[in-house]
This record gives sequence, C-alpha cells and structure tokens, in this order.
Amino acid sequence: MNASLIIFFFTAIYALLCLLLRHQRMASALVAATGAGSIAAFVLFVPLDEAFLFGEISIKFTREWIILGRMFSMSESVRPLIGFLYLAGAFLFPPAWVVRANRYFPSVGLLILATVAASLMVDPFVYAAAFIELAAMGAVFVLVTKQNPKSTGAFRMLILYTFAMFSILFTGSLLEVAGITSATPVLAQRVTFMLGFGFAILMTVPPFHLWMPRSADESDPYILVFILIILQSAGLFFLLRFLNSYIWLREQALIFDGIRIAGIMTTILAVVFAASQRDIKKLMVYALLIDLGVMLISIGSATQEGFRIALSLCAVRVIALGVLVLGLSFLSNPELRADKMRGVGYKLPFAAIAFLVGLLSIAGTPLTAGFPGRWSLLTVVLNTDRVAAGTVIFSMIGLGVLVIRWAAILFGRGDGEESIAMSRVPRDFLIGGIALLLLLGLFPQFAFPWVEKVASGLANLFL
Amino acid sequence: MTWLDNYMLVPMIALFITGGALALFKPSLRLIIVLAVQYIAVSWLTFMNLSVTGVFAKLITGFLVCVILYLAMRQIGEGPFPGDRQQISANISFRILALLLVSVASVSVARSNLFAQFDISLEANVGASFLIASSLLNLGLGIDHLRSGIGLLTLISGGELIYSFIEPSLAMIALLAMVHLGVVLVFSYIISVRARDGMSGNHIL
Repeated sequence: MNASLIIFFFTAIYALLCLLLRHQRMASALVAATGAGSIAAFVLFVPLDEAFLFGEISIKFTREWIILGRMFSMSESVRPLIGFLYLAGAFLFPPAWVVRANRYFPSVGLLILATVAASLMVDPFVYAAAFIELAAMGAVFVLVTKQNPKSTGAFRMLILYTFAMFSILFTGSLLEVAGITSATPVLAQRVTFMLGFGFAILMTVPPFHLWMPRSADESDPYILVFILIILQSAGLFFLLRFLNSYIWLREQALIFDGIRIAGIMTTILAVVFAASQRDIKKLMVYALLIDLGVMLISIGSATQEGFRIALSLCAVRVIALGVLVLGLSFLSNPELRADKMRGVGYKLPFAAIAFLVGLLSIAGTPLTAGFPGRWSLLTVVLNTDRVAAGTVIFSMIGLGVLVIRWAAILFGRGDGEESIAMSRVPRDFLIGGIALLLLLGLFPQFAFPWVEKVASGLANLFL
Repeated sequence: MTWLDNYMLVPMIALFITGGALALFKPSLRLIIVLAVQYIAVSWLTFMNLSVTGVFAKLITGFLVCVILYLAMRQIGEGPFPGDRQQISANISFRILALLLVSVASVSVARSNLFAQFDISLEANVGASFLIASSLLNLGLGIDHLRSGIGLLTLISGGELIYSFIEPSLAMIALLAMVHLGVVLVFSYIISVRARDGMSGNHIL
C-alpha cells in the first residue's frame, strides 16, 4: 500500500464524513479532529518501506506514488512537516464547534490540509507552488460564506497567490534548466528576485499582507487564522526546502540578509499598525504578522539555531493563535470597535483572558509559550545583529504595551457589565487553552522532538 | 496538424484582439465568447510545443471554464455584480490609451531576453506577454469582481502559455488545468454567494 495515497484517501473519507455531518457541528468538528490526528499519527509513526505486523496481518507501506510521470514521495524530510500540519488541524478543528464556524469548515479544512500535504510530497518540489495555489482556492470557499458574503480580501489573496505560483514555477524551471550557480551572477540575481517575490507573497510579507486586514473585516476570524497558519507554515516549509536543496542559495549572504530585513520590516510595520488599531480583529492580524516577522528574523540569522527557533516558533504559534482567536471569536460578537468593547471583559471574562493570554504569548512575555523561542532568538542575534535583536525586543515591548491597553479597554468600566452566561463546554475550551499556553511557558521542550525530526530531514541546512 | 505552425501570427493577433476586448468592454455574457476565442488562440499557439493530446486538453479546459463562467454569470444577467458599487474613473478613451501602452510594453518585454534560456517562439512570447499585461490592466482597473475574475483567468492563460514551452509535460498541463478550473469554480461560487446576498438585500460593501 502506498502511504501518500492512504493520506489522500483517508483525508477525502473524513472530509466526506464531515460534509455528511455538517448539520451536527460537534460531530463534524470531532470527526475532522480525529481524522487529522489519526493521519498525523500515521505520518509520524508508521514505518515505511518495511513490512510490519498489524495483529496477524503483515503490512508494508511504500513511500512513493507515481502519477502522470510525477512522484508523490513521503520522504523522511517531509514526514514531520506533514505530521505537523495535520496535528495543527487536529488542534484547531474541535473549537470550530464552540465558535460556531461555518458548517463546511471541517470538511474544506481537511481538504486544504491534504492539498498542502501534496505540496510537500510532490517531486519536483517546484510543483508545490501550484498545490499551494489550489489550497488558497479551497480557502476562499470557507472565507466567503453565506454569513460572510464579502469577498474582496479572499479574492485579493487568490490573485496574489496566482502571482506567487507563476513566480516560483518560473524560478524552479530556471534552476532546473539553466543550471544556476554562484558562477552565473546575472541569472542568480534574477532568480533570487523572483524567488523573493514569490515567497514574500506566500508568507504574506508586507506589502503582500493587504488582503489579511480586509479578510479580517469580512470573514470569520477563526477560519482566517486556520487558513493563515496553514498557508504560512506551507510557505515557511517550502522556503526551508528550497534553501536545503540549492547550495548556491545557501551560500548567498544576500538571501539571508533579505530574509532578515524582510523580518525586521514586517515586525516593525506590524507593531506600528497594531498600535493604531481600534478593531480587535485587525489587531489579531497584525499580531500574527509580528510573529511571522520574528520567525523571518530567526531564519535570516542563517544559523542552525536560528532555523530551529523558527521551527519551534512555528509550532508554538498554532497554540498561541488558536487560543487568541478562540477568545476573540466570542468577543467579536457583535461589535468590534474599541469604543464599543469597553467592559466586555466583565461580560465574557474567560474569552477576554484567553485573548489577552494569547496576545501575551505572541508578545513573548515570560511564563507564556512564546517566551522561550524569543529568548533563544535574542541570545542568537544579540551578538551578530543588533538591529534584529532590537526589533525583537521592540516587538515584545510594543505588543506587551498593547496587551495592557486592550486589557484596560476590555476590563474598563462601561455600561451594564453583567456577565453573559457561557455554557460549560466553551468555558472549558477557553480555560484549557489558557492553561496550555501557561504550561508550555513552563515546559517549553514539547516542540524539541519535532524540531529535531525536521532538522534531521533537512540535512543540508542542519549540517 | 503541423500546417497550423505556419499560421502562428493568426492566434497572436487573436490574443491582442480578445485581450483588448476583455480589457475595454464591460464584462457581460457576450464577452464569454471572446474568452473562449482567447482559449482557442492560446491552445493554437501551444501546438508548436505540445502534443495533440495536450493541446486538446487545454482546449477542453478552456471550454469548460467558459461554460462554468456562463452558468455563473447567468445568475446576475447583464446587471452589475451585487455589491460592486464603487467605480474608478477609467472611461473608454483612458482604457484604450492604457491598452496601447501595455501593448507596447508587452512587445518590448517579449523581445527582450527575459526567457532566453528557454526555446519559446516569438509569437507565443509576444502573445503571452500581452495577455499578462492586459490581465494586469484588468486587475488594476477592475474594482468590480467580474473584471478582476476575467483578469485572473487571462493572467493564468498568459503564464500557462509561456510555461507550456518551458515544461510541456502532461502532469503540468493537468495541474494548470486544475488551477484554471479551480479559479473559475471559486469565481462562480463568489458570484452565487454575492448574487444570493444581493437578492436578499443584504449588501455590505
């Protein structure tokens, strides 16, 4: 049996089940989470290319699946990445039930995961750009819904991802056909530019982030965060695989300088924009961009420690953003403006605390899940790049101040602060999320095994 | 059908005419015929490099795109797209001027050695450059979703035309066909959601 085919087949089965159960939100969300979790377990733990006994039956899963002359391969380098995506799905699907996300979200979400997984498995891997474009198309189906019919942000995303797809496809072809090395500087420069353009779009580096605030305005925030986590992770993994595959890319200081500068600019701009926000959903988008900027700074450090930190930040952000948006989903109903949010924290205390703790984690405040990664990054860049280190500190202080500001708004005295009754399940989800973030702040080593697995797969980057 | 290779100027000119028409006129049901002609011209230009199967696959994809788009646009008829009230100042004379500028720019880009590493015919290069340039014009001028949607389809056609010379594999044809169909399905979905929303009087834009 073929491992790639099994992933696609079971994802399709679970997606179909979720579709059939769409009117029972709890069942649909739990099936999606169970499905994603079981596929993640399969990807991460089942031995490939060797027979093993399952009960009394001998089973052998092969890595490679060839279709139309192209191969989907579950190599050791992509297994932890695919496992991560499905685990992220398993973590993010259950709360979709309590926030009453669109009925089709679990099934479409699973299909998006499968498409992104295909982008990681396909060989030659430049084809990944087309699969990420297909994933972005899937995202439109859950960003634009009957409840949220405005489509400007989603359509902008689709246009930008189309540009990214062609940019990366052309770059990949130039790399394959023209044989670019550091000895062909003109071509190398052109490829670097095109590659930078494509990745900047995939990872929503400003100014290609413009669809995000618009989508925050127009779409369900929970779905938007799911889409952003998956697509940005896909972009990050794609970038790391590119760097791992082409030696001349790794040898160019310009590439890492560019990534670092993009990270610094993204972080600074996002902090400034976040400070000027009166809309809590847009604040969430800029917090996400700050996190992205910090990740880019760690990749731009061009050190193994930096790559490891970027991967662990990528893992932690799933939980931090998940908790943040879970709280936000309750708070953002029905009024979003800061002047209308005064005292909302008294009405929905657990939601407000979840939102603030999520934001604190993204800020990298001590005792939250985001702190160890940022602290490690500071130790890496402090001696090599003071500007980058200053930017990380600026983001921590800037976002920390914003947390205080929003806490003052949410828990400021307004009119009629009687608390809104919240049923037990959403409250348990919120408390569980807050506890998890604090627990990960105390025991940050949870992501280490995964990071090491990725590192062993990308052997050229992690020599 | 190698005789078609002798008339490659025809599809190139057709691309200029169809691309121009799509950029100049208001998107309507009738313009879908123009889009269909554009797909035929693109398929014709790929005859030089692709197998007959590949060309027919492209042609069928193009017709499917047009049929899906027609069915979607029939929901809103000739009327404006629900919710698209904003217009920017781009009258017909401005559009003609802009189109002339992008035509000149696209021809000069095609004549430069941007894709010198690949064996791309001049007609295909010029045609694809014009398609990409006119699609950018559509995307730039179009605040309305219909124009942007057609612009996006044109952009993919242009990129696909060049890419078919770079990698003429069946896998790539299939993948780009999926992209084409995916985009038009997304676009049709948006039209149907917005049309329903418009009918219920729940405009938000």
